[in-house]
Amino acid sequence: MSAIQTNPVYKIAKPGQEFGEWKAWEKVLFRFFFLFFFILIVPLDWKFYRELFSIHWSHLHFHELLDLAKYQVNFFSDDSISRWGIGSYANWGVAFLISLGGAAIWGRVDARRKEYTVLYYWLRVIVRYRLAFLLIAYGFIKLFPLQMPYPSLSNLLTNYGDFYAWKIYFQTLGISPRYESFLGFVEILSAFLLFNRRTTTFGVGLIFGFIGNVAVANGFYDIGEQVLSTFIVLMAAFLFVQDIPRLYRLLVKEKATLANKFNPVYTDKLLRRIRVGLRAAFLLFVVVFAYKVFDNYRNDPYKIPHTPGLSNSYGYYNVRQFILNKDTIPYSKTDPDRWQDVVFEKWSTLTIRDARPVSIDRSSAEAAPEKDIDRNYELAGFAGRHYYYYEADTVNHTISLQNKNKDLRDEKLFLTYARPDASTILLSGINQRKDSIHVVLQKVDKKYMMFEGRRKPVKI
Amino acid sequence: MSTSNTGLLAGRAKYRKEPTFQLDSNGLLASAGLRPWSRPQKIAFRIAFLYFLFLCLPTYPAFYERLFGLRLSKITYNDWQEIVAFWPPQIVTIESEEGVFGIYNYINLILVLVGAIAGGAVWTLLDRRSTQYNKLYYWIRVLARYRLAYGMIGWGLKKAFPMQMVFPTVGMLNTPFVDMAEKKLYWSHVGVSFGYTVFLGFAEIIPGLLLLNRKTSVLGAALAAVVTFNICIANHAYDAGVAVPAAYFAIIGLFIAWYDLPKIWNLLVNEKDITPYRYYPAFAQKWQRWGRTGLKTFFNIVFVPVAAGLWAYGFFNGNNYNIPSTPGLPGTKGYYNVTEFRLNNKLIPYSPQDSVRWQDATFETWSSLSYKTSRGAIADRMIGYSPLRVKKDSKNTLLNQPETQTSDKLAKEKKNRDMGVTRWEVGGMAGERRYFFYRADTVNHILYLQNKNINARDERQVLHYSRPGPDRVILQGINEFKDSIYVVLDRDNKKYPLVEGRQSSVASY
Repeated sequence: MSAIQTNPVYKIAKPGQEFGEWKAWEKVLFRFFFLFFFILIVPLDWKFYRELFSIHWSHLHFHELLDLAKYQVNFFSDDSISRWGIGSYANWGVAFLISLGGAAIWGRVDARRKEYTVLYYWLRVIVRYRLAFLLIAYGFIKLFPLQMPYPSLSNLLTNYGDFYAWKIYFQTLGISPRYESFLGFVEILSAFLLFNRRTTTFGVGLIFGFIGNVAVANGFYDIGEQVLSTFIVLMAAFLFVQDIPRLYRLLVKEKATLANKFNPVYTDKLLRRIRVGLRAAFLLFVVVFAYKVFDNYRNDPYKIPHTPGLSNSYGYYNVRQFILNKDTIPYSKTDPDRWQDVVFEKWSTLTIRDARPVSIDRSSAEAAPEKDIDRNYELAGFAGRHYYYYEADTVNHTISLQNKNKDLRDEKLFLTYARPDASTILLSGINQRKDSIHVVLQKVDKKYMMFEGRRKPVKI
Repeated sequence: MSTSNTGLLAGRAKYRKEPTFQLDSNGLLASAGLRPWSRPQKIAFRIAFLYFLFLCLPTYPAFYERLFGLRLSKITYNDWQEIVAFWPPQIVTIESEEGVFGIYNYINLILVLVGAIAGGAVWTLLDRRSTQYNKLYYWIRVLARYRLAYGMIGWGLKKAFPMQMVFPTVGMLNTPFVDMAEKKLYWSHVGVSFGYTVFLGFAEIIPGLLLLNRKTSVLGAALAAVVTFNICIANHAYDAGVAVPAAYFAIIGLFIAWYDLPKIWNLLVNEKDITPYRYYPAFAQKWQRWGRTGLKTFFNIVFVPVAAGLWAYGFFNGNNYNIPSTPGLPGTKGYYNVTEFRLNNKLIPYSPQDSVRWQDATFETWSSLSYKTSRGAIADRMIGYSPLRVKKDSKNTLLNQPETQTSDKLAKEKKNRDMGVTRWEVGGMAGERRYFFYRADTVNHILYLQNKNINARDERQVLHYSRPGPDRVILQGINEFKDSIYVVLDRDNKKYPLVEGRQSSVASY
C-alpha cells in the first residue's frame, strides 16, 4: 500500500480492497475530466466568497442563494465575453486548456498509477452535488412559478411579432403555472435522485428527458443561459458514463452483468463527518431555499413590481380623446404623438401604445432588483408598448411617470388624473417633450380568446 | 482480497470468466427459462395481455375501410399517418373540451381495462395447465413495440418536416397574444423555432427507431414514455387535444420497458449481479426465419423510409397541411395600414371601435388577405389537428376522421386545397381579424374572396385591385355585406423582433 493511500480520501474504500487496472486511455480521460470539472465546479474564485460572505442572513433573499447555485468559474469579467454563441464559452476554453496541460503533467508525475477508482468516486460525488444544488434552485423557482410569471395585461395585449423568441417561450410557459410547477417538480425529483448515489442514473434519465429539452430550447430561443444549461447536460452525461458499459452488456450483449462493487465505507471519523456535513448542508439548502422561494412567491414575486397601482384602475383603455397643445388629434395608427391605447397594471405601471418606435430592453430580466422601476421583466424582450413606472399622489390626484427602460429614464410625464365614472379616466398635464396633453381614457370591456376559447364555441 | 469492476467505464477486463448458459430446446435460458410463474404473475399477465392486445390493434371498421380503400396512385403522407396514428378503442365518445378527445376520453382506456380484467378472469378459469407465458409475453411485446415505434416515428416526421407547427403568419405576427386560444399559443411557440421543431421531431423519431430493435427497445420505450408523458401533461395544461393519445402511448411505452426495468433497477440501485433473463422464441423452421425477416423488413421499410419520403415529398411540394399552396399576388406580402376607407362612397375615418371600417390588412405569400375590425366572429376552434371531433355520431363510423386533412381530400379530388387549410391561419384566433382566401384574376385585376372561417364560409367579396406603387394596393368592389367599398392600403415595412431576433442590430421597433 503506497503512502498516498493512507490519505483520508482513500479510506472511503474498504481496507484491502483492490481494483482492476484501468486502460491507459481511461486514465488519460479521467485526469483531464477530473481537472476540468474541478476547475468548473469548485469555487476557487474569490468573488464567490465575497458574495457568500456578503449575504445578509438575517433577511436572506433567495436570489442570493440562486446566484451562488449558478456559480461558474470566471476567468473573464462578465462584460468582456460575448453573451452569445461560441464566445460565451470562453471560460470553458481556459478551463479546457488548463486541464489539458494539467493532465499532461499529472500523467508524467503519476505514470505508474494503475487506477483512479477512489478519486473517480469522489469526482462523481462533487458532480452529483453540484448538479443537485443547481436543479434544486431552478426547480423551486418553477415549482412556485416565479421564473416565468403570469404575463401582465400589457404583455397579453402585445402582438405576437413584437416578442423576442425567448419571451414567447417564457410567456407561453407563464400562462400555464401548473405546467411550470410540474416541470419544477421534475427538476427537484431528479435532484433527489442524484442526492442518492444509487439512483443517480435514473436522475440522469430524467435530466436528459426534461432538462435536456430545456437546454436545447435555450439555444434555439436565445434564452440566454446556454452555458449553464450546457453545463447541466455535460454533468449529467458524465454521471451516466459509469453505467453505460454495464447497461450495454446487460441489454444489448445480453450477458451476465456484475453490479457496482465499490461501496464507500465510513469507518473513518473524518469521512463520516464530511458525509453527514455534506448531506445536512444539502438538505438545509433545500429547506431554506424552498421556504425563501415560497415566501417570495407569496409576498413579493421578484419579477413583478410590488407597489399597488391606482385603485380600481386596472384595465385596458381606449384613448377616446387626445388633445396635444389644444389640438385634438383624431384616432391614428401612424401619428407618433397620438396615444392609441393605455393599460393600467395591477401594480404601479402604466403602458402606452403609440406609433413611436420602442427600443427594446434586450436583457433577460433575471436579476432581482428591489426597486419597482428596476423590475424589468414586464418590458424585457417586448416591442409594441412603452412602459412607465409611476408614483401617485392620491391626495392631489397626480401621477408622475418615468420610462422603465434603463436607457430612457429621463423620459418623464407629470399628469393629474380624474375619474368622472368607473370606466373613464381623464389625464392631463405635460408629456415627455413638455407639451401639454389632455387625454380621455375609456375602459374596454372585451372577451379574449385565450380565456374564453378553451372549451366552448365563442363569438369573439 | 476482492477485485471489482470499477474502471472509468466499469472496465470490461474484469469479466475474466465468461459465465456460460445452457439453452434448452425452446430457446429458453436454463437459468431463467422454464421456471413456473406464480399465480398472481399469471393472472396479471392474462389481464395485461388482453389489455395491450386491444390497445395495439385498430378496433374500428373505419380504419380497415380506409386501409383497403387506399389507391396507390394517390397516396400521401396523410394516408400513412392515419394508419400509424390510429386510436385506442373508442367505446364511448363523450364530447367535452376539445371534441371527444377531452379528459372524459380516459374512460375508454379504463373500459378496455375492465374488459381485460373480465377476460383475464375467464381465461384463468379455462386455462389451468399453463405454468408460464413466456412465449405469449414475447409476442405481445412485439406487437406493442411495433405499434409504438411506427406511431412515434409518424408523429415525429410531422415535426421533422415542420408541418404540425409552423412559423407565425403575417396575420398572426400582428395579432395580440391574448387573442389566441391556449392550444394555438402552445403549438405556435414551437413553430417559432424551426430548429427546435425539428429537434422535437427527432425526440419522437429516435425512441421509435430504438423500439424497432428488441435489444434497444427498453431504452426506446422508456424515452418514448417520458416524451409522451410530458406531451400528455402539456396537452392537459394547454387544452391541446391529444392528451389521451399521448397518455396511451406512454402506457404502451411503460409496458414494454417493464420487462427490463426491474432488472436495471436491481443492477443499478440494488447493486445485484444480473444473469441473462430474456426469452426469445426459437425459429426452428427455415420459413419461420424467412417470414420473420421478411415481415420485419417490409414493415420497417414501409413505415420508416417510405413514410419519411412521403412527408418530405409533401413538405417540399406544397402539401404542407397548415400552409396554403396557392401563390398570392406577387410582392404584396406584408402588413398594411388603411389610409383611406370608403363605404358606399362615404369616407369613414379610422377608429379602433368601428365594426366595418378596416383598421389594417395583411397579405401573405400565399393567397390570403386578412383585415381587422372591432367586429367579432364565431371563432373557428379547429387548430392544426383536432382529432375525433364527431358530433352526434352514435355509431362511431366517423372515428379517425379528423377532418384536418380536408386539404388532402380536396387535392385528391383535384379541387383547390386551400379552403381546407384554414386551421393554421384562422383556427384558435379571435374573429376580429378576418381571413379570406382569394382567387386572383390577374388579367382583369379582380380578387374573388371567400372567408376561411368554417362558420362564415358564405362571406364573399369581389374586389378589383390596382397597385399604383410597390407599397400601395387599392381595393374597390363589393364586400361581404353587399356594400361597395374603396380601400387604400399602404404597406408598413415594419420589422418584427420575433423575426429579427435578439442579436439583431435593430434596436427599436
